[in-house]
Amino acid sequence: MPALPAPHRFDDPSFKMVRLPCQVGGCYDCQEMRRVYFDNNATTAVDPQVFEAMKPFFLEDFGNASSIHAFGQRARAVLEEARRQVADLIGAQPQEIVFTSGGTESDNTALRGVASYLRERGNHIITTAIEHPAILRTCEQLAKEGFEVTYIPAARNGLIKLDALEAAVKDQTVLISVMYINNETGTIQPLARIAELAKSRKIVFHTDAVQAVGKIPVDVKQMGVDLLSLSSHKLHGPKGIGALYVRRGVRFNPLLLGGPHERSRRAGTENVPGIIGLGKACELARQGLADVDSRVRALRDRLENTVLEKIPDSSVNGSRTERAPHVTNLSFRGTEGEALLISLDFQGIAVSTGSACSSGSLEPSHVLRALGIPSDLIHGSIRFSLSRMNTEEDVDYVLDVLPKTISRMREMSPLYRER
Amino acid sequence: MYSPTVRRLVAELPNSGRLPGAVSATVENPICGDVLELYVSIADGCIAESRFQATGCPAAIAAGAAITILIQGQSVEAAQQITVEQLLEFLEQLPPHKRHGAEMAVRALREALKY
Repeated sequence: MPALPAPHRFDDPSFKMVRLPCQVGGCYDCQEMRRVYFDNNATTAVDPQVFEAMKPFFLEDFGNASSIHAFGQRARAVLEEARRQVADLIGAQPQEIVFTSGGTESDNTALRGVASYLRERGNHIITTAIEHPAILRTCEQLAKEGFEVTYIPAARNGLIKLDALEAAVKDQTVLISVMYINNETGTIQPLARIAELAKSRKIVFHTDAVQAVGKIPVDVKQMGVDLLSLSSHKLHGPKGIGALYVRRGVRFNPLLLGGPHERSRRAGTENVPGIIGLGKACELARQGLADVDSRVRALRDRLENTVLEKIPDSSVNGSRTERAPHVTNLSFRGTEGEALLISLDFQGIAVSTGSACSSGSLEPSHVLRALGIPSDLIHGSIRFSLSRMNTEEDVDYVLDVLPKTISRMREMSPLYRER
Repeated sequence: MYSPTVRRLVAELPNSGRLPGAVSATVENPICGDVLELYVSIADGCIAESRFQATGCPAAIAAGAAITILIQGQSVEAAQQITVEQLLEFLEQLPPHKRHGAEMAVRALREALKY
C-alpha cells in the first residue's frame, strides 16, 4: 500500500517561528510556520516569571511546609505569602483560601462538602445545564446518593434563566452552584443577583470561576458568593494546583481526609512549588487585568468582526455583550469543527471545537445544545480563546489562514451552498 | 485520538473534489450526519482516477481520501475486494466510535463500482 509521509512533530516549545524538521521533503511543513495559541480556555502557557519563582522550591527550598525545622519554615512562609497573593486577586482574606489540586477538586469539594454537611437540613441542589463536567458529573453522583438536583436552562444568548432559578428554590434547597464565565462561550452570568436570592433564603452559593479569575475583575465580597473555585493553569500558572475560596463561617465536610493541612479543610502535604506558582500567577494576573480588558479585548473583537465580515455563513454563539474579553465562539456553516481544528493545527493554529469528539462520543457540546443552537452550527463551531500573551500578529495570521481553510472545507462539502 | 495519517489526510485533503463524468456514489450516516461522495473514473478495467467530497468528521474525510489513494491504478476487481479492515490499517486505525467513517468509504466504493 502507498505510504503517506510521516507527519512532523510540533515539539518546539517556544511558540515562535520554528523551522520544523523535514522528514520527507517537499511538503508545506518544510516552510517556516508561525504558531498561534488560541486555546487559552483549555490551558495557558506558564508565565516565565512564574516558572522562575517556582524553581528554587524543587531543589533548594524543598521542605515540607508542616515541618518545624528551617526547611519547613521557609516553605511555610512562602506558602502563606502565596495564599495572600491569591486572596488579593479575588478580594478575600488569606485564611479563606484553601489550596487544592485544581478546579475539579475545588468544585468537588464545594459541592460534595457542602451537600453532605447540610444533608440534615435539605437535599436539594440547584445548578445549570451549561456547567463544566466537574460540576455536572458531581451533581449526577449526588443524585445517586439521594440528592435532588435541578438544572436551570440557558437562553440562546448563553445567560441562564433567572426566573427559572427563582422558581426552583424550595425549603429543601441547600446549595446553588452557577459558573461565572462559561468555558465554551465566555458568557458572564449575573452572579450578584443569584447571590442576593441565595442569601435571602440562607442557601450556600458556589461559583466555578475557573475561567474568570485572572481574566476579569473578581471580588468575592461584591459578588456575594460563599465558595469560589479557581485553577492555576488557566491564568498562566502551573497545572495541578488550584484553590477554593470559602467565605469565613461557611462549613463543609472535607473531600480528602488525613493530616491537619489547610486548617483541616484539605488533607495532604501542600504542593509548595505549585502553590508558589499559583501565587505568582495571581500577582501577575492582577497586574495584567487592565491589559486583558483593553488590548486582549481589542484583539478578540478585531478577530471576531473581521471573521464575520470576511467569511460568509459565520455566526457568534452566545451573548456578544455579557461576555469575557478573551473568548469568541464562532460557527461556520458547512464545516465540521474537528476537521477544521486539525487543518488549522497543521498551519500552526491551536483552537478547540464544540463538535462531537473529545469525550469519545458522537454527542456535540452540551453547552451549545443547551443554548438551542442548531446541530449543524454546533458541529461547525470553533472556540478562539486568547490571553495576554497573544499579539496583533497572531490575529493577522489567523485572519489570513482561516478564510482560506474554511473555503477549502466548504469546497469539499457535497452539501454546502452559500446562503 | 486521531492517528498521524488521519490528521495528515484531513489537513491535505488529497483527491478532494468532483470528477465530472465519472461513476459516483453518495452514502450517509444518519446518526452523525456525515455525507461522503465518491467519484471513480474507470479505463480499461482499472481505476484511472478517483476523487471524493465529504461533510463530516475527520474520520469520514480521512477515509474518503484514503480510499481514493488505495484504489488508484488498481483493477476494478481488486478495488471491489478492499475491506474496512484494510482501510483502517492504512489509516492507522480510527477511534472505535468513529469506525463508521471507514465503513462509509467502503460502502461508497462498492456502490460506485456497481455501475
